[in-house]
Amino acid sequence: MFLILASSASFAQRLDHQLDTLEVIDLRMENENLQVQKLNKAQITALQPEDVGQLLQRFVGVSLKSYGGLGGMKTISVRGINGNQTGIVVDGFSLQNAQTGQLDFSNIQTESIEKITLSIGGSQGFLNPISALIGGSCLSIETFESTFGMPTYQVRSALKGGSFGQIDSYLAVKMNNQRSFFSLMGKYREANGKYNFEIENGNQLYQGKRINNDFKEGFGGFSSGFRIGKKSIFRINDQFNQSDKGLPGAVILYNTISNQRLKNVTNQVNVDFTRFDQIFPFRVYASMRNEQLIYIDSTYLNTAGYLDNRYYNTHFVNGFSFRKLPIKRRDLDSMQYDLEIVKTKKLKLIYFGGIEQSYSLLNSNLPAILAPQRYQLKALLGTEKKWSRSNIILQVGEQYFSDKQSISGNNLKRFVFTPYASFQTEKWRSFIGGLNFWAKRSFRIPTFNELYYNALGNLSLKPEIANQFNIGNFHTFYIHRNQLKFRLDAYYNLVENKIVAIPTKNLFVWSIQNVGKAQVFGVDFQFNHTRNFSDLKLETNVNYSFQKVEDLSDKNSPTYKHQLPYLPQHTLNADFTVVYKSKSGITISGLATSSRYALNENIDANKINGFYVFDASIYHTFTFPKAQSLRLSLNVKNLLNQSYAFVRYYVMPGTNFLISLNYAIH
Amino acid sequence: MQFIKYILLISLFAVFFSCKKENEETIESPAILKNGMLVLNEGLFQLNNASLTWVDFGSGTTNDQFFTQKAGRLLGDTGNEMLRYGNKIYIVVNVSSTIEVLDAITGNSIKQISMQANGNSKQPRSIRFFGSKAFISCFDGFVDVMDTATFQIESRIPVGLNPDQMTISGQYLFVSNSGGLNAPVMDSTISVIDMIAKSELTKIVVGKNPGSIVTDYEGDVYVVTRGNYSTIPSRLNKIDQDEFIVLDSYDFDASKITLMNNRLLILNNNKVMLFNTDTDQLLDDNFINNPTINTLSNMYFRSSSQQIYLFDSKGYTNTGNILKYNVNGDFMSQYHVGLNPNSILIYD
Repeated sequence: MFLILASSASFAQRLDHQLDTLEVIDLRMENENLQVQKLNKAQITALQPEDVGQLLQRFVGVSLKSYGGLGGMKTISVRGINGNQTGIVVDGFSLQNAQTGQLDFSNIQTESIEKITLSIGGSQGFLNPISALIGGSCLSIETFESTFGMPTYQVRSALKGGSFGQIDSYLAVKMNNQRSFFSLMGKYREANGKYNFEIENGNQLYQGKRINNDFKEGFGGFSSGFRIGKKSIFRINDQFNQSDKGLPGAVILYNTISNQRLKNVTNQVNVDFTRFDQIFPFRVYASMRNEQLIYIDSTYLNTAGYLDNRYYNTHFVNGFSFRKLPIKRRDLDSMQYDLEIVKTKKLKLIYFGGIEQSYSLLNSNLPAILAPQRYQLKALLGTEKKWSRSNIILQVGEQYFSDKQSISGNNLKRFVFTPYASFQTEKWRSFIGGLNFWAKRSFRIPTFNELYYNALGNLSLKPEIANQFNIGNFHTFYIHRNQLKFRLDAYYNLVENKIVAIPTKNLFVWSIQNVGKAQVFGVDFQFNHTRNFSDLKLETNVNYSFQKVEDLSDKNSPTYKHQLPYLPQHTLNADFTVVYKSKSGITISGLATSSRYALNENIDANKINGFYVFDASIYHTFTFPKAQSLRLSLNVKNLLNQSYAFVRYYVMPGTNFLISLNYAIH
Repeated sequence: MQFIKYILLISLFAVFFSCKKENEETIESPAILKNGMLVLNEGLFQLNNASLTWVDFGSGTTNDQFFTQKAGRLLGDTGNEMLRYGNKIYIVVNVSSTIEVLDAITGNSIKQISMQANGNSKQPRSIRFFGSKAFISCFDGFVDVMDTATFQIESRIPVGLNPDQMTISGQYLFVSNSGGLNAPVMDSTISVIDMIAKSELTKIVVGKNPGSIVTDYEGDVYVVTRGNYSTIPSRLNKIDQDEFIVLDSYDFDASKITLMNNRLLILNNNKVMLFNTDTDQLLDDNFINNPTINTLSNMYFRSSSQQIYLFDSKGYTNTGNILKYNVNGDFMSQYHVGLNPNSILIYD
């Protein structure tokens, strides 16, 4: 039962036979259960993304902000709600940064990814930490390095080279036996990022070359897992990331000078213990994340002649989560996990929940930052009732946080309840199809940047609350050898005390506004078509997202009912893939976005034009004895050499190429 | 059949949500500037949206595309000042680090001067004129001397940290050295430049973070020191034009000042106060207080028509208003302009 929901549960899939059978029952509903979108290894291979940020633009409901591609910062907003309300989970452990709240998705590499899942609203993964289950949405990543494999050794490696000096190398080795695995991973990538661009400048074209857009980035880590007895797993892993990036900033007309850099060193160590008991499975977990950010402006016009701002973030979290299943021990003993018996037990209630606490600390060499500290306590309790074709989930979450600064008397304490309810049913009338309804309340705490920065901190900021309501309808049709899947969701979100960040100074400094109140009315549409021939497989995906994100803060404001900045009303993405004999493939993908506004006021002067871009990739896999494979792929991004930008004057590169060689021992 | 029905339903939905909006209509810029107002809108950092608005008093129309229509290109990033000198208009564009020179009769672009030195942006802030020379304060610690006929930078006069606003008294140029980029340790000096010798004569120590600076009709200099925005308050200070010493510092907050005859208009806390420069007395601490003004960011006094113009920047992120008052502080009219109105030029 519990496994279905676990988006990152596959390491447990090979646990033991009994669990597998349990899993089968529940996986039945997985594809259409909840609001889950996912991409597996094969799909990621076909799309050849440069980082997780680029993958996210394939998901419906996601508005990506990319500050210039290649190594440039990437952040998201899901259904018009600030990206801070999206929990990011890798192998069951949250990645969190109390300073900025938002993670830079360009810092999460893709080679390791086995599966990436975005759950909007109700995330129910048993292996997800409590913080992710309470959030507005959850992005969950499962990696090669942290999953149990076949009892042998496995290798994954990649070597890439491309335009603008892109070099990328990745190597991961994993040793498995019946009871444990141990993996090591290393990756290095760099690019000079010097691409030509042209932008409209009145009636003229302003041409230039992006400078100070280089980056160097290294990743490393180990991961290990042990089976303890028949039903328990202990895991420990460590991930390290170091980067040095130029911050080219927006293209400034008539001035090409740019001297700002951002250096980042991050280390996160995680441990967990999970018991896959058939009656009371539970998990205890802990993580410690240390992050150092160094912002350098080598020609800043102060007395020193430069800026060297250093920020040290520490985040510690531990938690416990459980799922109480409606199976009695004597049933297990007598029935030997007989499928039918388990099915009949479905009418009973499942209980789940957990508790998590975390502590964050920010230190800096800036005298204005008075070492803010934050303690958070999150708890969740829920119940689920299942029938053969439908289920109801009710849960209530609680979040408490308490902040203090070392010198100033500014202490903040808040307590917020976050309920969630969902009803869903499989197809019960052929035309109506499957239905699901859910409502969720979530909230995000202002980040340290928003609250405590002397220069731009805003002490009157309140927590941002999001109330989400969703109605979904899903269909699967089989016509001859075609499988067609549709999913249509309409939603209404009411965001109170909405915090909006607008880049004003540069990438690292934001102007933060409590816009107050906003409502989002949106529609998400997903379509998938697959057709299998004997040697050929065709797959088409089309995702369309409509979101009207209105500023309702002040009736007298000139921006009343205006669309909030950087959120397009229409986003369309589509891809088409042909795979031949499971060895070769070609993919064409496209993304189109309607115009957005750079500032709150919806006037022509603030308008950023919509755009469409196409990418293409082609690959062939050579297989060798002893389960070896070598894949050669060519990826062309921005096929039509479009000039476009997600963020105003953060120009994206024109047509560019990437050649990859991936070697694996499976 | 059901599949087709479903597709139809989806298509209907798609049609329902695809709607396009019309573009705002464009207005032509006049060939000769008269009976109107030219407004420099500062824009916002890194958005390249500094602009000029032409307000036509006759038709009541406003045109934010003035510079683009005249020059065929955009003005750039962060317009910090616009002044007319002779038959030319000079616009200081801070982040683009340029000086734009326009014909004051037609508004046509004459020259764009790039302000860079040693691979770095000079970041010009303000401009004043003396004879055939323009003096440009640059945030990198210099006042540049530019010939107004050749547009060549002839010399760079080193001053204090982050020189900002300037005023002329006699042959002397008084430069506020703000030191704003060295916060929390700001500068607190006024550089006095001899514009004939083209060198710094002395530095006057005033309060922390000097900014807005004007010369009264007797030649004395008033300067606002903005403090550190928390523990050190802002103050208005008076400097003797001959002795180069601080005569007095007045016990009230001030953020910007403008000369109006023998009065100072003092911008403070979203209202305008009135100060007598003959008696050095605060006459009215509530001279203009209009609650409809959201963010009172700057002022301008036109002596020929004896009118006061107040700039409302609407939180700095929305397009602003310019409000016209008579010399008694009575509201006359209001114009909607661009993002962060900074300076205006009135044409009869």
